[in-house]
Amino acid sequence: MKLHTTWRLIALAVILLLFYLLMSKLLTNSLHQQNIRYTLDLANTDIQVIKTAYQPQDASSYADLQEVLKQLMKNNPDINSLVVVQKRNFVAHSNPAMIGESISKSIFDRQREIIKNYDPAVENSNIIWQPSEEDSNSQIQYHGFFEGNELIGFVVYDTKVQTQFEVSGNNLLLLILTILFFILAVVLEKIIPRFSAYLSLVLFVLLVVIVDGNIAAQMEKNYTLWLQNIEQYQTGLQEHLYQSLPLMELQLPSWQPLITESVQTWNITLSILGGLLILFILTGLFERMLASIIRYRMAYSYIVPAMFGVFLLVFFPFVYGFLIGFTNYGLNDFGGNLVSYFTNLHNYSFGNIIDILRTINFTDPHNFYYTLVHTILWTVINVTLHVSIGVGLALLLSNELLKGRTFFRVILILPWAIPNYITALIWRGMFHKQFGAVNGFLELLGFQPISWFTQVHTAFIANLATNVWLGFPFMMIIALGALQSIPKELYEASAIDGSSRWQSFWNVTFPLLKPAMIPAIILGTIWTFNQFNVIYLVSGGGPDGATELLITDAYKIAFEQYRYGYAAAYCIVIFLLLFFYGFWTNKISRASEGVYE
Amino acid sequence: MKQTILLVFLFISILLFAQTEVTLWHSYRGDEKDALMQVVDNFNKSHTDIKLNALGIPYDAFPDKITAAIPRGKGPDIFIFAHDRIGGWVEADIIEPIDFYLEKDISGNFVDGAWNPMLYDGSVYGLPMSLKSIILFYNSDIIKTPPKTTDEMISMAKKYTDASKGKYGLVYEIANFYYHACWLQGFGGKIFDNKDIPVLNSPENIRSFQFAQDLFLKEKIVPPEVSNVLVTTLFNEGKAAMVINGPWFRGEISGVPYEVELLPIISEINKPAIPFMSSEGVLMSAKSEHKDAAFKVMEYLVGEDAAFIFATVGKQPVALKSVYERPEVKNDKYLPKFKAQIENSRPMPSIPQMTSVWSPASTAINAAVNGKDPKATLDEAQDKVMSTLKAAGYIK
Repeated sequence: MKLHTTWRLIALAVILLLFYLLMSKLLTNSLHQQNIRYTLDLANTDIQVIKTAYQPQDASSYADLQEVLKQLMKNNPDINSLVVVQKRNFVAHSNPAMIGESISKSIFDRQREIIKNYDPAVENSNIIWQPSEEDSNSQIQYHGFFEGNELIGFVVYDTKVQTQFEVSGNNLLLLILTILFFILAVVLEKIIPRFSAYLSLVLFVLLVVIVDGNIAAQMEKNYTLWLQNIEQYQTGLQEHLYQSLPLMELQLPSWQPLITESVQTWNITLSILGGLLILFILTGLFERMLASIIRYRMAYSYIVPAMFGVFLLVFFPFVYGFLIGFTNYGLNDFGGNLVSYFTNLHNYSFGNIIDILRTINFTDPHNFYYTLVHTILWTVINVTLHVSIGVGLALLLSNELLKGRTFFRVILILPWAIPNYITALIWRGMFHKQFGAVNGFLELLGFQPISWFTQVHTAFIANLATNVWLGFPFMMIIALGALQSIPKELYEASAIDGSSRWQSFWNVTFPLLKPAMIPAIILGTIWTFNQFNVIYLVSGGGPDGATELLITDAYKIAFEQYRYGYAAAYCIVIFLLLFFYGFWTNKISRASEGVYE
Repeated sequence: MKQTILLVFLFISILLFAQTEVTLWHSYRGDEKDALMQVVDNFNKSHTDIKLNALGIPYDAFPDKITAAIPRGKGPDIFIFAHDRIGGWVEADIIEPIDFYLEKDISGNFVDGAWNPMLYDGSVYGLPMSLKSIILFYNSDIIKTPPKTTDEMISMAKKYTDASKGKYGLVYEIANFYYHACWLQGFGGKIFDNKDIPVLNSPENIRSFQFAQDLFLKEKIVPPEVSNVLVTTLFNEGKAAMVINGPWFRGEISGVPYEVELLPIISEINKPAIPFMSSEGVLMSAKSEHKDAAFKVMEYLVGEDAAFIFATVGKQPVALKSVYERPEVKNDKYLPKFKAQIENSRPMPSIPQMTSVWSPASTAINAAVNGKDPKATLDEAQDKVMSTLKAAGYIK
């Protein structure tokens, strides 16, 4: 079923509109992360510090604080402004080391409430700063600096003042442009039906340029407005709070370059994503998808829950991990909105990946290339042993003359059936220098006990032994299945032709095993490449990280050093390696398909 | 119809009797968990306005779960954890300073050293519940009088050690930096200097590494590749004369008569070993919606009734001083010893930089014990920690 062009264009317009709304919303949110901060150095002002010993009698109401304030005002008739800074950490006196460095983090809501509600009904009453209505969404925080008990300065924070800075002003324009675009496209469709799609693409590019320019201009305008607001705010604060006092320092976040960069990043992202969207629609892919969804709606409705699950559990974490690979997301960066990591200082772009790949050193165990070589060596040796042992055992087990085949089959599958971390822990115990079974056996034969985990090659052998034990049953099962499906007639025919046993293996068994074994080998390779449990539990990557695989290294970067961004970048590299490996082997396996043809 | 009416009544009654619910996360098991459950029950019986729910979370996943859940508003109101992660959690705005809730200075109510670890940047972030440091356990069938100095300890251990029978004089996780810290600090070594710059390769630290290497390679009184499980197994089989471990080890001992003694004086410099101490406290989430109720619970958890249960049922060396005056605790064979050891310990650093030290330091002690030159291993560890901290922006 072919959708009418008009519908196609309507769909395009709606999708683009939603797309832009979402994007501008995300961008707006991401730019609201900075705080403004005023620092006031008391030494250079005529602020007078009045110290009052105050111990709340009732921490829930602080009613007595008001009394204290009133008393204070009465005793000092010449003061015209009053800022209450409580030295919160009165208990910290018990720790002399802390005094002098103590910077209180925030004044609590309740205390703010007191100050807000405090209405000094005394004569000289322009005394305390009272937030006006306009400030209702501002969050003022005071930080007092103390030296001993001496208040030497304080910082006033306002965490929400920049809410006036919005990017949403262009929504109306966007709507008008989209409608215009839609009308134009419909008209074009009437005049020159064949080229309407290409013309729409051109129009779209124009739209992107106009809208992006508009966003940038709007942001510049908002930024100027915002700066003006800040200045007003500052004056307001001065009037209310410090009156004749100069604010010594006003720290404004340097936003100008950040905004320009963000807009540039945004232009590029928008153009790429929008271009992909339009291609998706114009190439008819979207139509076909829609048509197939409508046609097979029953089938699709059945798989919706599964698709939802896959999206949530596989696709989303994958994309999220991919994105944080381009940031320096670390231990203390939880809670932020992901877009913000790209629009401010967290943005590392390819920094992590360059960092990983830059220094080439094959002898330092902490270097990426050493670990890569080790991982490849580990994978190749393992898979070779898995396949040879697995196929060998399968050949033995498929021999009909062997008695108790079922019994042996069960026994040999056991290593695979036991959860592999249990097996790994048992093997670790067996390689213990003093109490392990392996050394016990060696001593029985008259050898010296080996300290398995203190040298690289012995630790490698211990890991290898464990993983071979774990890995061969899978290959064996695959090979067994493949062997049983080989028709006996082929062997009879080859016997009649006078082939030896070796020839019949090489010319009949081997080519018929291949199509079953190659996917298993590809799978086994990827499993072994990422065999986290064995390395982590048997050698623990030791000695000194020399038997680490890429995946255990990534784990340690993430959960021992807490460098999530770097670890995610590490995983991107691993993913790319395996992706290309999969691509390459796919070609090979396709070449080996179709023995019967 | 009737059902509907019933439902409406049910709904109304739920609204009427709505309580503030406070969720507590902990990672206790065994005796400690039983004690906590008893305390939670007592609290819920005596407080009708607050409902306290305790939820156990496996220890390994605990800090990561806290770090992930609280910023998203999914976490607990309060949780119990050791002080060493406080710094990072403060920097990430995960825990709430509580000094505004404290009405008076209560730091004097606790055992020396319990309170300060709860502070960060001069603000209080938690109330201490129990204190944990390692101590010397010994099998009282084998050792009658415990060693006072390391020389005594080594000679006693040597007498008992018989590697061919799998018997060892001293069993502890020698290659684990947490355990090694008692020698390191005993020799006067430090991990960070006064400005929070790591100083892993200081001469004192090198000496302590040499000491550990000698215990294993020269004196041969410690078994190779000691793991947590091996310590328990050997001690329970009566094949370990002395064990260095924490109070949690008591729950793992079975069938062996044991006593505890303070860690010995290091003969080489005539100063006592100083282990790491972790002050386990109850902390408040910055995103809690019932902070007042949560604080009430916190106060209850460190109050005398609760602390007494933690000491007697949970066998914990609790932080509250007055509990040690009670006869049941005073006459206990172990708790006063633990208290004495705690008073001779140093809190584990709580600055966020410490998280970058563990892994390189453990690698270093492992290499040193197995015969690598102590200085070389510590130089390497120092370089690695410095480069991580530089990358993370802690050091310019």
